[in-house]
Amino acid sequence: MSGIIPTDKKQLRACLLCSLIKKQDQFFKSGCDNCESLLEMKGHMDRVMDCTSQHYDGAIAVMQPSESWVAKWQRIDKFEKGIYAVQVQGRLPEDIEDDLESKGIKYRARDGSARD
Amino acid sequence: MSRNDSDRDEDEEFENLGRSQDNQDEDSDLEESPRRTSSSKKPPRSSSSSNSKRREEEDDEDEDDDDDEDDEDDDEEEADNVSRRHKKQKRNFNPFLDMEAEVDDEDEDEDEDEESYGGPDGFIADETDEAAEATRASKHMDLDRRRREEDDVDLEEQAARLKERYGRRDYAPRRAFQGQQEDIPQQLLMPDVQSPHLWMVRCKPGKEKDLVFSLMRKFFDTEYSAQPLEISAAFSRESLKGYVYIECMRQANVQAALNGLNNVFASKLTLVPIKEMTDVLKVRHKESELRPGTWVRVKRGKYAMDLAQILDIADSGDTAKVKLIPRLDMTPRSDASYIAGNNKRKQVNSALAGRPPPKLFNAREAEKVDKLNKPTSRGRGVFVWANEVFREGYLEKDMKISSLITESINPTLDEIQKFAKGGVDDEDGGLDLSAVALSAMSTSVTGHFQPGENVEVMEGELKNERGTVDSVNGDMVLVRVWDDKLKGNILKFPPTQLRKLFKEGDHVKVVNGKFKDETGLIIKIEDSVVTIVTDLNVKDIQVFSKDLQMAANVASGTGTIGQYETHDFVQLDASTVGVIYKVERGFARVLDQSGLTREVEPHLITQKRDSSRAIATDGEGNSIQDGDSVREMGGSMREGKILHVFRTFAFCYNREYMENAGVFVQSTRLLVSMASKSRSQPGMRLDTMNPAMMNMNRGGFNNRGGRGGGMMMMGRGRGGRDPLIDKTVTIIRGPHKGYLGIVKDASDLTARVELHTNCRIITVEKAKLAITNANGTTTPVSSMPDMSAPSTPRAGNYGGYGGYGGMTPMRSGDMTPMHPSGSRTPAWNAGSKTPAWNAGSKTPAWSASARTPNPYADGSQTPAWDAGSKTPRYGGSSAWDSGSRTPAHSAWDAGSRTPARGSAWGDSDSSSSHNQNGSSSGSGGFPQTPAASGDWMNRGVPTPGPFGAPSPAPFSSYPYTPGPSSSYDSAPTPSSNNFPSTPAASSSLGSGGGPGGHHAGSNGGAHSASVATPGATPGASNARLQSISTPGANQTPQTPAGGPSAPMTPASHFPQTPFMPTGGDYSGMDSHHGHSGGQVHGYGSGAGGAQGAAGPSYDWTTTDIEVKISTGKDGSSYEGGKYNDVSGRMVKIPPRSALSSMALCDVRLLSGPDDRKVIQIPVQYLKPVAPLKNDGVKVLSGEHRGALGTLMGVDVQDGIVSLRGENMYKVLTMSVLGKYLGE
Repeated sequence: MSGIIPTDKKQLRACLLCSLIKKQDQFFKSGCDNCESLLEMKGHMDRVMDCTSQHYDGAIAVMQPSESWVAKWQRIDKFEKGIYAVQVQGRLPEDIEDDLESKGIKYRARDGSARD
Repeated sequence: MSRNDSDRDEDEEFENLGRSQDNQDEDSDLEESPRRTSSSKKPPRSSSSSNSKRREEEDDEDEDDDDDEDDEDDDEEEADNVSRRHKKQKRNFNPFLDMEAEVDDEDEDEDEDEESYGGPDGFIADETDEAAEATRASKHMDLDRRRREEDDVDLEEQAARLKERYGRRDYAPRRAFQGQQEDIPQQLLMPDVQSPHLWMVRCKPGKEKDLVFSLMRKFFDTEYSAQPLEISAAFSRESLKGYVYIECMRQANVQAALNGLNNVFASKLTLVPIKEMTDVLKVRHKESELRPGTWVRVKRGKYAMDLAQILDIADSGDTAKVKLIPRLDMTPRSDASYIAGNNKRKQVNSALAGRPPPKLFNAREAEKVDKLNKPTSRGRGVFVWANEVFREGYLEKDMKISSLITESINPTLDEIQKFAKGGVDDEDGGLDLSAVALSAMSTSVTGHFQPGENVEVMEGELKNERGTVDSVNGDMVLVRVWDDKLKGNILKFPPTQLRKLFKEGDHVKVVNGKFKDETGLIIKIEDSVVTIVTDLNVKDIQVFSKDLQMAANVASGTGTIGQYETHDFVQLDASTVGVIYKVERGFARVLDQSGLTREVEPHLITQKRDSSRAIATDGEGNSIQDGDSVREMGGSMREGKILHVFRTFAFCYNREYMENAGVFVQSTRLLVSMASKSRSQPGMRLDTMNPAMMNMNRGGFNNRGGRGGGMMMMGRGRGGRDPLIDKTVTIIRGPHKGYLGIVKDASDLTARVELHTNCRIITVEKAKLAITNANGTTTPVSSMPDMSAPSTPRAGNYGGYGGYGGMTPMRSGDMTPMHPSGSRTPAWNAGSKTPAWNAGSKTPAWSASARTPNPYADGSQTPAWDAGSKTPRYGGSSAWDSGSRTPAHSAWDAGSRTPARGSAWGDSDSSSSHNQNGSSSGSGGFPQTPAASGDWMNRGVPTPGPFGAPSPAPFSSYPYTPGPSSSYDSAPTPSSNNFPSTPAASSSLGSGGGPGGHHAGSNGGAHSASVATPGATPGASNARLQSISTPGANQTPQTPAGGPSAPMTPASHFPQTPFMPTGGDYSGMDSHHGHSGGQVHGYGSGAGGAQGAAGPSYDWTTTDIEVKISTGKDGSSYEGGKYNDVSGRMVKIPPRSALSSMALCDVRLLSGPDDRKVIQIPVQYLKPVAPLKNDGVKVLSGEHRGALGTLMGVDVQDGIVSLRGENMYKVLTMSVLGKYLGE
């Protein structure tokens, strides 16, 4: 379970789709715990680099996603427990975004540009 | 919240769906079955695969049953046994399709579990009734399902689509994103009372993230323990340093969670109010910060601080492709250097020190530089060379955004121009306005917005909304929106979302950018790019609306270019000098001494020259210098103030002339000083003095300075050098109080002091310095006028100055004994001490000087004066006694002198002093001297005395010593400007001042000044002289001296200042006189005399203007003051030729007891009333004399007047405007 927690503070990156924060090699080894099926980062360093960003703001430790208002506000209440960023700079590459769309998922950028 | 509810419902439904699917192996509820059956319609799979699948499922089933065994045992042993048997059989036979078929046959009455086996069962079941029934049922279900599908298309569709695409796995994340896709507006996610609470906990700054991580870890560690962490989330933000937020239901949970964690101050828990919860998580919209086109700077490396433009930003947002001007090493590479170049370490070290200059890449050059690695072309101006890509000469490079400076870039025009494709040649520099616009946006700061400006919102929900800036608060602009719905609301916007709103035809001023300070009319507006026609050169320029501001006034152009500013005196080449009369973008317009104008770029200016000490002789032999008011003797009779004197040319300025912005050059021989009227004293004429002589004198002066210096160890080479330089001083006030240092440089008011303590050089006001004398005592550099304290002993070197010490009245009393510093004559000392000076027993000169203060005391006397003037000189002992002193001085006895004085002076001191020879009194020979001294910078003026000092004893032996030093230095001393504070000052005063343009006259002026303001010290010198000693004078408004502050307007323009006129004319008497005479006239006849000379003083009289009756210049009132302060209308005026102070004007009173009555009143009691804005005005003097108009506005001392019959505004001095009462 604790594989989702970064082991140290170096080389942390945040997933551009769900804002999960992990170390770069964690993303590489196990992909994103929420988005692996969509982003398929596991084993692909270039995907990791494309789909995560090292520029993010804030760190949220989500312990009980379904009960947390913070998680709900961040729209991460349906994700795994773990550490998430409040804001992630950057966007997914467009082809991935298109791909997501074709899977019926609308990409909501985590950089603060998404508007309601 | 209804929407929210429905959302929640939907969510639940999804969850149900999801759960059922997740668990479908076990469950076989009705909902699932239809789907299963539907899948049974698919073509049968190969038997082996279905078999294996089924076996797995059965295993599961079996285990379940085992679990339940105990419960069921008792009741239905039989049945159980049977079923178990069946199952066992099943298991046994599973691997084989045949067997299974058999089993199935046997188990006809098998329970409904069978159904869930799906396909294989169906396929077999066809032959059995039950199976048929099941099929039928499933068909119904199918129908039901379809119907339901129709009912609930969305749900079903999504579920089905997802299912088809991805099968079972991965459902959870998809569901999560699905939820996200729901697009619940964030407003509906607002926290409510049921949300967990948010607690704010202080922690050690920098440890926020660590804490969050540890909390997470702790949570996982204790998750299945007896005491799990009962918090639902914890977070920190970069922007909220020193705080961690913890979300949970109860405070106790927070404490429990934080227990045992380091770096957190759990004792301080703050509950975040529900309303503010969202603020904590507010996401700052940073995206706009960097986008293609934005200007950035490089932080480190070869391109450190170079401007770069972003071309593209990588999706991840951490790298950007930037465009740079390459810095390439273009020295040809020999093999050796090539190898050396590979030495990386070395390269790094010299990266910044010797980095090549920025220069556009040129492929051909590059080829030559490195023959081994020629640039390869990628077509269309793109080259690759040394692993770098060049496009059209620019380097394109991927850089980490973290290595770029993105804020407050403020690229200069030059830098941007280098990026402009077309270079700098075309009018707008070929700038891509849109690109610049973008970058400009990003640098937009609140500073651009001023309350009251109209703005439009450029982005966001309120796009296109318009409003007025209410205030600017930090980095937000508060806007009062015009829209009806939002009326009255004040909304906050970041400045980047706003743009200023202008209308075509608005008159605006450019506040930023390369057109800064231009003003003009808006002729076109395209989005945020505004085209305006400038007032100055009627050119179209394009600027961003953000750089504009509404402006009423018309710009006169920027005042500075590089280190030069308007009216600076500059050297263009060896033989050409000129005055900058206008500064435009990138160049200055210069009028040279031959009257030609030229446009000069700042780098073509060799140097700035200082003409402040230059003296020239005007057409009448009077000396003129910077700041004097002069008139041309012929031609257009232009008047103006001398900006600079260069040899025989004077550059003059009069703002009323349009040509060359009011600057003109004229030979000094063709000018006549308007202030000095010393014509009547041919003996005094400067021009009688051989210029060479003048020079000589001057030189002498220098010598003297030098000599004196030598003696006093002042080491000054030139008279003009600030005596303070190289002195050891103590700072006596301010933050550096107590520090000891050496003066490295000094200006009028400040000195640069190198501190002994840390070798720092700081700038300190001279007033805060005290000179440290050899014996450890200190002497304040500036003795304040009121500083009566004789205490400060004047000492050592200073003493050397002593000279001045003595002179400057301020110093006065204290002439301490110390003084004498070797050089001094004994007499001197003596003098210095005599405190008694009042007593009149004055000792020699010194005392005199010392005494000056007293005079003040008297108030009435022009103390300053006397003090000043005479003192020193008398200094010369005998002279003194002789009564060279001013009459005024009663105290002195000297009094007797006054008028006579002129001569007295002449003989005694002045001459002597000047000539350095100094020696003796004989000087009589140079009557002018005094004057001369005056000329020399005014500073000399007062001094004469000192020299004069020649007096007997002391001097004779050391002619120079005290005297000289004193005289010259004196001036400088305190104020350091060399301007003698002493009486001399007064003279300077005059010169500085309007009227008494020159010394000669000035004396007079000075006097009058002093007279007028008894309080004023003699020093009254001009402001700029800053004579420390006698500041008073300047300040007193009424003194003509005031002139200095408003140098432009000749005294005549101020009818109201009574003394004015005297200023100049006074000069009738010789300058010396000035002193004593000054008083006399000032008081008594002053006015009269004044007029004579100053014809124009009542020149303003004209009809139909409003006047006010007041006291005359001599203090008298008309009819005993009966009408004082009554206003009236000028009905009739005396002919101009008959104008004098007593000329009678007819005035219709407009107020007071005798309303509407017409009285005849001497003009001296009248003052024109200054018009107010929108009043009708009549121009009282100048080229528009008599013209009528309306005052549109007032700008300090200038009025903006719309003259009748002209459709242009004129800017006229307020003093030439009278309030017009006619129609």
